[in-house]
Amino acid sequence: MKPLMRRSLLGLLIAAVLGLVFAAYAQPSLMMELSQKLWACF
Amino acid sequence: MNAPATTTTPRLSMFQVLLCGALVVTTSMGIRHGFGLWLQPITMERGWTREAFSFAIAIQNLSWGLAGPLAGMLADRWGAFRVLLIGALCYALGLLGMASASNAALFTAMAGVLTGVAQAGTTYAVVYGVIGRNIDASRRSWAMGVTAAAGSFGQFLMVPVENWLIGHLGWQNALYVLAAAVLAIAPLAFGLREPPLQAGAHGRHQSIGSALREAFGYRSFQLLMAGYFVCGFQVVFIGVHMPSYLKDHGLSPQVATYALALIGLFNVFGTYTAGSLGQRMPKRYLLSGIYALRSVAIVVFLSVPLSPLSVYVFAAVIGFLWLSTVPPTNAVLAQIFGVQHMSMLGGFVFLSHQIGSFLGVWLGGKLYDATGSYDIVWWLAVALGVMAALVNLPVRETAIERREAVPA
Repeated sequence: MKPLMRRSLLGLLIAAVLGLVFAAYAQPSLMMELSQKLWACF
Repeated sequence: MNAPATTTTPRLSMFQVLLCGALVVTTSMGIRHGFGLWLQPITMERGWTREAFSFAIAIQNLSWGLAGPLAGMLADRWGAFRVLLIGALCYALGLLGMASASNAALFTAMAGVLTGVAQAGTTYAVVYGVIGRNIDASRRSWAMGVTAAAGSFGQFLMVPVENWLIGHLGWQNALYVLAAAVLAIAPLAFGLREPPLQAGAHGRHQSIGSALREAFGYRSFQLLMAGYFVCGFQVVFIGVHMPSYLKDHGLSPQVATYALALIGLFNVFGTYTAGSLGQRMPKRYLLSGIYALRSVAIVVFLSVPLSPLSVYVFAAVIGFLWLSTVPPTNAVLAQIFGVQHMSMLGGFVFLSHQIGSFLGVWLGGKLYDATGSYDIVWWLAVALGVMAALVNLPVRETAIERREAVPA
């Protein structure tokens, strides 16, 4: 595999993983739970 | 005759060091980042005050900073491998202690002191020593950026994971799972096991006392410590007090949650970028730029009308600058002093960071109570950022000149 293609694939993989984790934060259920826990601290 | 401070012979493969180092830091930094999620379940079940929980976490941060130089000293002397093993074991015991402590004092000892010591033995300073000794200076800053980005990713990843664990398994079982997971650091430590050092393998042998005298008497080391103090102050003040600030200004809790997610996401890009840039430009300018940009970001944030959009933009920018000081600061240390005592010196610089962190959290609360607003602390963070930008400019990045003992 050419280095450029390898780098591109790696970049895509990293972007996909980061996107998935960010999507986890955006789930309404998690968002509400985190928000409540966060607000409860203050 | 002057001896160069940095002469290295790569020994472990770069891929092996990066893979194992990144996974160690991801695990260690990730697990600790979500500890706040246990505040509610633990205080409710045990009947403790929130202050008792917060006190333990504050002690954990101080313990992490205070144990850093010792962990680094041991890692430089015995190898990071042994320190990582002990650190992983302490981490697991600390998490088990968090789950089972029946009184606040025991909880503070386990979640605070022991877990803080464990973090000192399993995070950046120890892993960066291995990177410094095994990766050539031409790629060192980049490699530190990769490892820091992995730690940032761990923080970003573990909040939803830990929240899921608490929700599905209960808070105690979630801690047992994490205690088992953190033991994964032990096999990874084998990948960072360095062959015994040959005498003089990294240039002239230098005793610990001599290294400390040299570093603390060297102006650039003092300046780097001052800068890192500001990093700790700003990051922890914003991380801890920003949700409260947003609440005071009537924003919804979802805005604060999104803001923390954006900080986590952009932190991954920021640390990697800082490491890569450190390879191409003088690190003092990079550090100075990061601190200056933080101050600019805070001033703009305070100046524009507060809205969800302004919060998200600020979170993305400050997230990008969040831990981006870590790779260039540590890479400069290696450049100036060499790698023989790198973990120990990194530990001392990190202690300064943690003192700043402590003051950021404490002063944030103290001044809020005294004045009813965060305004003074925000502007203090701006002023400190300007000061850090200025003090990093005169840092000398060249290897320190040492006089060899001339035989009689």
